Amino acid sequence: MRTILRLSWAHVREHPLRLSLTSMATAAAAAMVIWVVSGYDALLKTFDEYANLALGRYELSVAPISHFSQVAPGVIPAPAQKDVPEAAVALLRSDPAVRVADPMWALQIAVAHAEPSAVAGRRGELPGTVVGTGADAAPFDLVEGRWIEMSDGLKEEGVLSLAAAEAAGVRVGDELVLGSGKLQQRLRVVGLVSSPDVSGWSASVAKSQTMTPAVGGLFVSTKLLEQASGQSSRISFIGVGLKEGADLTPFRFQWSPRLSALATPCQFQEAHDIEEALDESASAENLEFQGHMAAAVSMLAAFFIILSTLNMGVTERIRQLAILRAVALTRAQTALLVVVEALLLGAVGYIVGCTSGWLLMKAAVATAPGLLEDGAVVGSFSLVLAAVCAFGGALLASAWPALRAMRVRPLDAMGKLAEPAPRGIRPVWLGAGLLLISVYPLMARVLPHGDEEPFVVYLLVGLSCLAVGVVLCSPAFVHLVDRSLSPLLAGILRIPPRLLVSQISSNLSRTLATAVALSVGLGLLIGIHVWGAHHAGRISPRELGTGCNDRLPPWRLGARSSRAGQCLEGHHPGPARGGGAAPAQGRSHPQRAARHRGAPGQRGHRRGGCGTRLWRERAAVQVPVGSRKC
Amino acid sequence: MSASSDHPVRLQGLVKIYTQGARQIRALHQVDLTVRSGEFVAIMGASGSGKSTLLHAIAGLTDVNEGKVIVAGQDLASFSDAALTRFRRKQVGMVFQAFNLIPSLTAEENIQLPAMELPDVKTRAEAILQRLGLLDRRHHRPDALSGGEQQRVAIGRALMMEPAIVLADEPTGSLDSRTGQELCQVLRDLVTREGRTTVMVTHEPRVAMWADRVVVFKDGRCLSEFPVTPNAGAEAVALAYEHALQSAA
Repeated sequence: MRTILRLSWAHVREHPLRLSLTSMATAAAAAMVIWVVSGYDALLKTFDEYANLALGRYELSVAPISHFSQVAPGVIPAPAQKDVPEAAVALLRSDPAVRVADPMWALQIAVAHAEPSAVAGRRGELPGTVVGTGADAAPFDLVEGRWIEMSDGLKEEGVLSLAAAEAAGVRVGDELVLGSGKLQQRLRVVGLVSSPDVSGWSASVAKSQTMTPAVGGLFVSTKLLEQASGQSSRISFIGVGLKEGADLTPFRFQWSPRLSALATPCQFQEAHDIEEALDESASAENLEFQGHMAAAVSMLAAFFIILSTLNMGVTERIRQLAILRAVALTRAQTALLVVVEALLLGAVGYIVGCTSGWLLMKAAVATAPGLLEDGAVVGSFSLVLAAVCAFGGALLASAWPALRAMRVRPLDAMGKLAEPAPRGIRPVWLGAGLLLISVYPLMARVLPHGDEEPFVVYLLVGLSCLAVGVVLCSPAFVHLVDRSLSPLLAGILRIPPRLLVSQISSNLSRTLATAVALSVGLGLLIGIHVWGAHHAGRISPRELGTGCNDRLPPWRLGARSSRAGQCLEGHHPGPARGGGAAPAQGRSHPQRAARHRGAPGQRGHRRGGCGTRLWRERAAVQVPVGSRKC
Repeated sequence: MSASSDHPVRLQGLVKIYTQGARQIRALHQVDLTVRSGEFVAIMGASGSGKSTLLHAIAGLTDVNEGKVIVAGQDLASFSDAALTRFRRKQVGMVFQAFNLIPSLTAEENIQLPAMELPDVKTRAEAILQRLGLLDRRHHRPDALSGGEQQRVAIGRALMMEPAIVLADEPTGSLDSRTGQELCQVLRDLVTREGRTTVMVTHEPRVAMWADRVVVFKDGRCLSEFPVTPNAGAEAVALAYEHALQSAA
């Protein structure tokens, strides 16, 4: 093994430039994996922390099952199915183990600074999700001020989350305006609570898929929220606290069937349920999928780069390998030599790639601190996945060159090696290649777009056909280029045309490897673009969940909001007018896709008479949290 | 003393046929040859006479169609490919016309190559470097060595495992005449001082004159052989060679 290691290292060092280029390319692939997967890891960690804190002083949250999953395939939950029945509160309060059962109403409603000029310069985004509650204590620890006085009926007070207050530049004592138009209510911020938050677009989307006090950026009394929204209060979820000594597990066991039997079936959420829901949310799945795709693409990149380098190396070193076979190495050891060389290249790429990935993350954190919650942390999973890409790619890439090295005979060292004679164009190969290439565009015309299954079919069948087709056509293209361009290029370079021809045509295997790499890479790029563009066309800001109001400046809101809402097909503001809602999803689902296709005008309204501004205003219309328009 | 240690090389009825398309070329035709222990044998012949094929057959680099190749008491046909490689590494030292050193390794590493797994590899290599006068060139790569030095490194590599037999295929073919003579002196010294059995292929009388015995080859057949007296010059060897060819004709 010492011989193999020393020889492999000597071979790797033989061409420093080649080593650098191969390592850089492999490193870039590994760094890409580190970057994407660490982003996913960071998101999961954020979810973990968020889930542990999201319930605040409660042990459990009770919310309708329909909020978390569809009632039945293709069925949109009715408004009543999105609220917890009032009976549930009384039932829970009657249980001796229950310390507190606080109903909470989460609503998306416009929140604005009462005096914009007073906070000029420190004004930021205000939370769009307001939680109306009758609780006599803050759901989270108070970091400043006090909790709302609930005993005094309609008290115009509110408590902001610390993160929202800092983002919006609001302090205790500042006044805000809740709602819009004639219904708007002024309130004073009397306290700040340290509720958990998750940053980033995908995290915000995921957050909206759980029902806890943490969904709210602003807490007010239920009565105030009724006044500001013009709606009767509803119960989005109930925060349940248990008495000291009460056992959570039997409590859940006892109550689960009773909650399921309510008029609107409900269920409990504990920290681990929340974390699971977040982890399984579409946004997290999306990022995970992206991570796997990045890993696959990186592995392919590492594979082709190392394959090309090793193949070149074996071709150049036939005589050396023959000598080694004659004086020292067995066939297996010759193959091992190539494999170890590949692993060395992979190792250099891996080390450099991981370091680059980490530095990249550090740079990203330095420039955008909110991008990664826990700073530049490279998780063990991302390291493992990057290792799989670098070393797996290297191992796969070494298979063919190792086989070639094994086939070298000791006698090859003795005589002069014959140059491989270039082969001419093979019409059968060319025809078959063109036929296979045509499969991909034909599939694009025949198969439906966008859903996951066709995407996989595109990927597996379409790309495979494309790759094999390009490989089969490559010799013909090389010869055509040879014949048409070589004389011209030779003339420019002032070298004998035959020399150039032999250089191009004699390395067909290298040409083929490059062709495969290019076709797979381009195919993937096109596939991902088509897939991504199709989905992007379907997503509207309303689908982004609770955060959508946050992104709209309050001074643009006004009386037109209600008119805007009326312009939207299928949308009717008000408590009983929320039909057509569906859980927010960032990714396609066959039934949802069918629903989207089957709802005429829903996509067209963006370009309808209401115009772009109207579309923006639409997002500010009061929508119960958890309900989204498609 | 056993037969194998008396005769490190025994070839019996060797036949080697190459196929080129529909044509069959008989490279070796019923060749019998025995080399005694500590003997320096030169195989002479014109190009295409089959002398290199014979050397490859002794080294186990090529299969024969008929006959037996017995080296150090072992029939090479009984070995698998891996076993043959291990056997060759231990029992056969090879020196090629084109030196065939590994360009990415230093002179010392090239010499160590067949024995890198041995614990005393460094000591062995140092002794060989000393013996061949290459100590000051040990850290140089082949491209920084002269032709003579490169061939001495190749001889060092061949001796590293203390083989039963050293095979040299036109070892002076890429060297100028003075360096070639120096190298022949090195090979002669190996035989005289260490009793190393050596088989060398050459077509030059001034190289063959360093051997103990010359075997003349023509058209894949062993025509004749003649002993070389210690002080015989190149001309005497050339005359004897010509005579052997004419006698056969």
